[in-house]
Amino acid sequence: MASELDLSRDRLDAPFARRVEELSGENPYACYQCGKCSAGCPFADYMDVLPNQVLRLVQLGDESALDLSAPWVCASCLACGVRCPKGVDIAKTMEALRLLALRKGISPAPATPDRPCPQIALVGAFRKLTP
Amino acid sequence: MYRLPGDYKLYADLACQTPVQDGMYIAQLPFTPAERPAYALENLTPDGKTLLALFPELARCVACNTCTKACPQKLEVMDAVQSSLRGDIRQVAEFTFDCVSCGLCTMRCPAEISHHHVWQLARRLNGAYLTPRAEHVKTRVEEIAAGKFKGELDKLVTMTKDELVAAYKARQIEA
Amino acid sequence: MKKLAYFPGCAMKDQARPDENGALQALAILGYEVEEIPRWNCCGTVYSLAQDDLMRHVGPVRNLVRVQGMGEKRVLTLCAMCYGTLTRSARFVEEPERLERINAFMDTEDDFRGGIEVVHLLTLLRDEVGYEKLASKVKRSLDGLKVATYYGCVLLRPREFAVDDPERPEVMERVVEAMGGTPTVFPERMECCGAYLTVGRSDVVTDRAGRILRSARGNGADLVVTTCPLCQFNLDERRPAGAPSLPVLYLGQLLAWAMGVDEPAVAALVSKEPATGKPVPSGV
Repeated sequence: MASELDLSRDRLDAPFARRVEELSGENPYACYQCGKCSAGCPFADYMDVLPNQVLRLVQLGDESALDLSAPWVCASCLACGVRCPKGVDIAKTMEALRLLALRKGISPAPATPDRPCPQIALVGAFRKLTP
Repeated sequence: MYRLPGDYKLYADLACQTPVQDGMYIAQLPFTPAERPAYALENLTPDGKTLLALFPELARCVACNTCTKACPQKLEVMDAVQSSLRGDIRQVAEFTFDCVSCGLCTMRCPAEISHHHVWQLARRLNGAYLTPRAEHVKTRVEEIAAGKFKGELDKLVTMTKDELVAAYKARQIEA
Repeated sequence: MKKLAYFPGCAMKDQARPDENGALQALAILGYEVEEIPRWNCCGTVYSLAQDDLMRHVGPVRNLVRVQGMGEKRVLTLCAMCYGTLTRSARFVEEPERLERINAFMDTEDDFRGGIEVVHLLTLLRDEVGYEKLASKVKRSLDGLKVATYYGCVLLRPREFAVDDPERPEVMERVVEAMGGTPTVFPERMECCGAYLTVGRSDVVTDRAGRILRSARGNGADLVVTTCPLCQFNLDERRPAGAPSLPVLYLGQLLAWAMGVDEPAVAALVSKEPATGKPVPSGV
């Protein structure tokens, strides 16, 4: 049987979505799911869900967005942001999702060098991936 | 660590060098746990890669300067972290020459850097690889090994206390 | 000589030494007296994208305070990542409440008053030196060399801080032309190499490096030029087995060689005989 669909507006003003908006400064509800961000993302191939889908989960107030690998594979290259027809800087949304985990002391992404790295790489990785 | 009445700042000083003041609110910190990985100096190269490989947390520095403000020796601790990041070992050794390894910077650091162990490694690398060899010391050690001073040393061993005192008083002193 | 405050950043003192050496010698030839800012610190490499993360702006702003202390109004960077963090932090703390808080926190420094302009080598060459003057200083043309101009991310994004049009940049191509080279425009020139993912996900970066290098080579390039030390590292050191072996050089190296400064990495490229598929440029 098909499960019931909750069409209540309550979910469209979820505390989780507002928290992400507060941290990122980007309104998740501006997104109309055109998918342009995902089409141009150089890292979409390595993500579990696409960038526009991450934003969709945030719109729905779905905190499972915090368990995704996508925000940790995002390298903050900002290709999505310059191409978004609604001016949403999705990289900032990804940063907010990372920070919500990092500020609880959780870092699901590896930040230990698997091969030798210069300091410019370490500084970047530690800032983005460690609590 | 201490605070003074009516002052928001948290101060750090060495107890042995700091006069007690009226109203001072003091806590003694015996020790700061700090990570010091094992290394063999002879296998290392004196550059920034070595420091970062052993102490990658250096790259977590946000340049907040809290370490410098905590240093009871008034060292430029943050500048030393920055010199480490850019691989300037000699500069790190010079900045931290007077470090007493009290660990107060380490206690305060939001990046969780084990400063004093990094400094010790930098000074060791500087001493082992970057400082010019003291040729006269090398020459003298070789002379000793070759027995050049054997006669004089043997004579010293057999001297009485009075003779030693007299010899000490009559020694040549470099101008 | 025109005085110019300079923020090197950590990489220029480490793996990107050839870039700094080359660029500074080229700038001297172009009439600049470059002065390194005193007691500079790491810019942080990646800009914090959060609204409340003021601590991450302390590093960049502290450097801008140093520039202010020199009595200068602008500061030059060679590194694309330093350009990104310094420009964006300078703008972020323009908001009075943020500026007040950051100044209160940095109580050992002079207050930052704002108004410091951050310029990148590329914009300096375009807007102040000019392509014509640059070309007039070229002693050895890069004629015959096909140079893939790799921008990466931070020079072009976000739009407000881009050194050129984020989708159709031409500044690096024009600089290559001014040096007598032929720019190779290739689809991946603005696509990210993976940046700091090189630390824990070198698999992703290796894959990205392979795609970028194949795209450059596939469009006929003899070498790749970049201004980002992390791009240079990722394309060169994370190059997958079997990927094109074309060299990845810094802009500073090309500039120096073109202006007659000794630069072995470029010399090795241009001295190859035509038999190897690399034409010998004129004017050598």
